[in-house]
Amino acid sequence: MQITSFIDILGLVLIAGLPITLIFLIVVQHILGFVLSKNYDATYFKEPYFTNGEVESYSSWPLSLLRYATYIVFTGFPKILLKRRFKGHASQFIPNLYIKLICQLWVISLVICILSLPVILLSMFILS
Amino acid sequence: MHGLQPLSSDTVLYRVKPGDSLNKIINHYFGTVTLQKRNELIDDIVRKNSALKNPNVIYPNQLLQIDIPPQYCASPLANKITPFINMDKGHLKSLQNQYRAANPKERSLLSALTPVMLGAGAASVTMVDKTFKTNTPLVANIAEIYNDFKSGKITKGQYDGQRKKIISKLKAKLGPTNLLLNGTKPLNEVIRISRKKGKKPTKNIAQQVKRMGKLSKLATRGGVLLSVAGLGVSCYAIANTDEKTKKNEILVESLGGLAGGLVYGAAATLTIVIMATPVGWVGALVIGIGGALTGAGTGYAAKNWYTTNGNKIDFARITKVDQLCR
Repeated sequence: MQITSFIDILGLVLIAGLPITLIFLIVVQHILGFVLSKNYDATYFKEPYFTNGEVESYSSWPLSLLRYATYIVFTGFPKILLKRRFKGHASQFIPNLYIKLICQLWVISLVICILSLPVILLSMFILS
Repeated sequence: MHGLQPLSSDTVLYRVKPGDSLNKIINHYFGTVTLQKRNELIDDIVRKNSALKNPNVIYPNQLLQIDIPPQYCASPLANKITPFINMDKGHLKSLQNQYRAANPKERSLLSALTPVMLGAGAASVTMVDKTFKTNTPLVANIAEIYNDFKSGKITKGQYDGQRKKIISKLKAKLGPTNLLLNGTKPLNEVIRISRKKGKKPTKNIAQQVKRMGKLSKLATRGGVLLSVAGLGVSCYAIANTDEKTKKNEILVESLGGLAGGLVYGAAATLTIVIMATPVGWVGALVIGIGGALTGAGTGYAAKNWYTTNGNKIDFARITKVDQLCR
């Protein structure tokens, strides 16, 4: 296998890098979700933070991933969710620094993956 | 109180009323009890009702299995026939879910769009799960009113009238999804009390609930199944292609599509989380179709990249996919 140009790298990221990273992030999401749910569910997984419909549908997989993502963003970047879903509510659970860092890393990686797709597609379009 | 009451175990299926709490229900059945006893009773209810994640959160129309004191046992008349649904079984978990009625407009649109939704991907298919889940308690109602009739609480006429009402309500709610459940058989024929000797009278109803639970699970996992099926189709196509370049093109297109779909899913998740927007069935439909389109577009771009760059990399050999898909 010879990688000779920038467009080769882009192609490899698209067909191998992105799926592998995102599958890894989904696995991490399940683990973090499991840990955080124990601490957050009793306090937040009810009205007014979640609607009755959300409580019902976010209780079981696959929509439970949305609940996990909410908790991860809340742990990593609480200010974002304190403006909307958990408006004006300070977190009662003080997360471990490592968990907070992993949550922040998870959100940043996800954003990078999301942004990289249009960038890769656009670059491939321009270069080819 | 409505309940399925097996005399041997003194258990009722309690339907939560608006304003109810576990403390209130315990007060109703057990009167004033010590804090320790109350906590024990709450723990017992939580243990028996696996869908009850938080004892402080219960919903109107939710069904709870509760052990009750002997004075609340069913009347001797119910001794002859004891319809009993074991709430511990997985497929009956959906019975314990909150019952929420959709408005008529949503119902008619949901019914009309069901075939489209079935093909639109994971998020859309999840909504079909919702249709079955939310309507399962209606089927269980029939068992409840039958139990009331047999214990002398309601007359035969009242039982017939209520049963008819429930079936027509269920018919309207299930709409075309009933075809998935029971084929062309009319609902009143499927959900009927069995008169056969030696057969539990509520057996048909329990079967229907079980079928709804199974289909509900199938629908939830439908999106995953579709993805796996998609990969399976690619694998089949790779196995049936002798040409190395063609094999690689199919593989690259599939992986590109997977990448696009996953990125779209991630973007949708983050948007929903940050915007704090509940996912309705319209949202689910848009997410499903959008994901499919993004996946297809990215797959096309990946294939295009591969062919225009002279097919230099033999992905099928490197990943050993050509050996896996024979």
